[in-house]
Amino acid sequence: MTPMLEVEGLEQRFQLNKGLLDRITFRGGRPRLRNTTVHAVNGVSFAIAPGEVLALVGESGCGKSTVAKTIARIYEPTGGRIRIEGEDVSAYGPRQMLPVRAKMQMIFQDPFASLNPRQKVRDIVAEPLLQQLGPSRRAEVRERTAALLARVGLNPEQAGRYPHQFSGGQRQRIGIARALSVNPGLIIADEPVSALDVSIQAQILNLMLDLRDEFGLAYLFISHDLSVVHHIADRIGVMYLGFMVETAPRDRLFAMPRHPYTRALLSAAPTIEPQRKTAEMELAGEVPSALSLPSGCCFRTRCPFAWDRCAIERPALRDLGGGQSVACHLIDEPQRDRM
Amino acid sequence: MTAPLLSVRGLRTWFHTFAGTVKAVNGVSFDLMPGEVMGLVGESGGGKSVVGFSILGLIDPPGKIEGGQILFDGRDLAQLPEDALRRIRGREIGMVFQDPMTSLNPVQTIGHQMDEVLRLHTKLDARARRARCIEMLESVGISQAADRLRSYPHQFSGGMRQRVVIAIAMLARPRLIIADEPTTALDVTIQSQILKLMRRQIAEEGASMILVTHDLAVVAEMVDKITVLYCGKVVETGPVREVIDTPAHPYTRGLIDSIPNPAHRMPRLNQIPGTVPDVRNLPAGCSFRDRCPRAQAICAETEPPLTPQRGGQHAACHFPVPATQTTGEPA
Repeated sequence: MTPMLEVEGLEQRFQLNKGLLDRITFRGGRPRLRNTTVHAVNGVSFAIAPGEVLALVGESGCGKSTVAKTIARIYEPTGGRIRIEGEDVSAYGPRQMLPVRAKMQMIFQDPFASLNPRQKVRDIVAEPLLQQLGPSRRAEVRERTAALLARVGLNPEQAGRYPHQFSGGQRQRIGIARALSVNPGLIIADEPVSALDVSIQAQILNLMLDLRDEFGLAYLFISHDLSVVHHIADRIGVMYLGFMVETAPRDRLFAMPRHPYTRALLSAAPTIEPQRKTAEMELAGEVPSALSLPSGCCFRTRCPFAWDRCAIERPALRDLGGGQSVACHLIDEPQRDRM
Repeated sequence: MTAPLLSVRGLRTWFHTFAGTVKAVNGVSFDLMPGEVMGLVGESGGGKSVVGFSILGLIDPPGKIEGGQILFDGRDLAQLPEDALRRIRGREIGMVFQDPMTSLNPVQTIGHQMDEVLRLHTKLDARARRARCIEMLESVGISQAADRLRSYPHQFSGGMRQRVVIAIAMLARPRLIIADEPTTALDVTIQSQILKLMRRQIAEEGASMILVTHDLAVVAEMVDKITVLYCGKVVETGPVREVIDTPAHPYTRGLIDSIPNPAHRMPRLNQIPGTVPDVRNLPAGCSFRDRCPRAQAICAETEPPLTPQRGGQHAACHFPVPATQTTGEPA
């Protein structure tokens, strides 16, 4: 079966457009120009089958949102391939992307910023569909808009209102209705519940899972919250500093995380359970700058197990079976794992 | 029995707006013992931050403390004039806010801002103040503390800035710390470092803390007791494990069931239906009744008082959730 989405060696770099004077530094009395390339995503590969939920987790700056936005072609990829249902869209221009957008839509984090405050809800939801069908089928679009609003739990009679008249949870429902309007097979959801209160978050997660079952949707779900990810995802990819460090099916990742970063992430997440199941592993320090990546393994500066090999050789993702892949030298030398 | 360090009695903080009076805090009472850590939890609009600000005397018009007492060590903070409050804030009550970028002054060095606290609140000379600042920065895990005193806030990362804020809050050895969402803006590995640090600092100084947060998981790991607010009122309060394991109020039950729990994954989350009502226009009786699966006729008529429940907690509910029940649905 063709995967809904296939990403191969995706790279994304940004140039900080700073002036010459900002970039100039003096080292040993000589002027040098500082490097201003942000290495946001460094060769990430994965695939999502139809109806599957893949979650990308990681901390701020790990590149998970950049991956989402690059796939949605909000950014132009610097390198690598993006295939939607087998069709390579990585070099498509805006006009070529239009038919592709009927297969792939996005839901954003901030329900306050992602809806045009001067558009009525019915126009917001109808816009992607009107783009696809053309203005001659306005009546059909209106009918579908009302049905969609009802499906996501909003009163279609409120379609003439503006976004500010709705609460955060309701606004996120509007965003979901807009994404569903063109009947896509893939929805890219970038932190869709992070801005919401827990009781509203539960409503939106339930809605997203119901819609998945009903329409056979595949999700690329971006989140920093491990408990949310555990609830919604079939498979999880853990990112650090623009690299994919581990991917595994949900239960396997939570039961036997292999990468030291995944282990630290799981043990740092607070829980309402009285006892922790995972061994405590605290990370010192902070994420290095994406302006100058560490040599070798991206995680070695904070890894409690790192040894000289980690500074020399960058570990590649290796298949461990059972759908789990890990990028870590500990796999070769398990005796160094002292926990 | 020792006397409570802080005793809040029937606190009412209202905001008079053109669109009506917002009763953000409407009759909140609790006690905090010396050395005790209490979590103040609830969703947006519950009034948890306003309770914290009221204790600190930081309510500005159109807000006003309409009634109730805030007894701190025998003095009623709600009645004290501003200059007396100013001597208490920073010295006896320390503050940690959510966003470390906005609670630090961007145009002054860290050293200057730390020194200011000691200059205002202690009689130490310049040399002793500097020594205390360095000692404090080191104890929150900032290396090369003497050099870092000359740094500005933007030269620190988010996690480091929050460490500085904690250092400033603890400088004058306050007896009470009010921390409002101190780790919400931080990543999970940094959050765990900061929470550990706060727990250690509080224990070392023997201070009490009120931790204001929406995150029940953080509360579960940090506090001794928990007070749950809904629409400006306490709906449940008690020892942390009892409240989380066997909540008596349907709202607390609903909140806990709404959190995805990797240890017990359910195909669907038990969501609380509906949304928080408009605080300017609360329904009569119990404010939660429109969203409550257990509500009956009496809930619309009489507001339930806080009553003792099994397990040592108190809840404001006519039909508390039985201990054996694990969901908010009626049996």
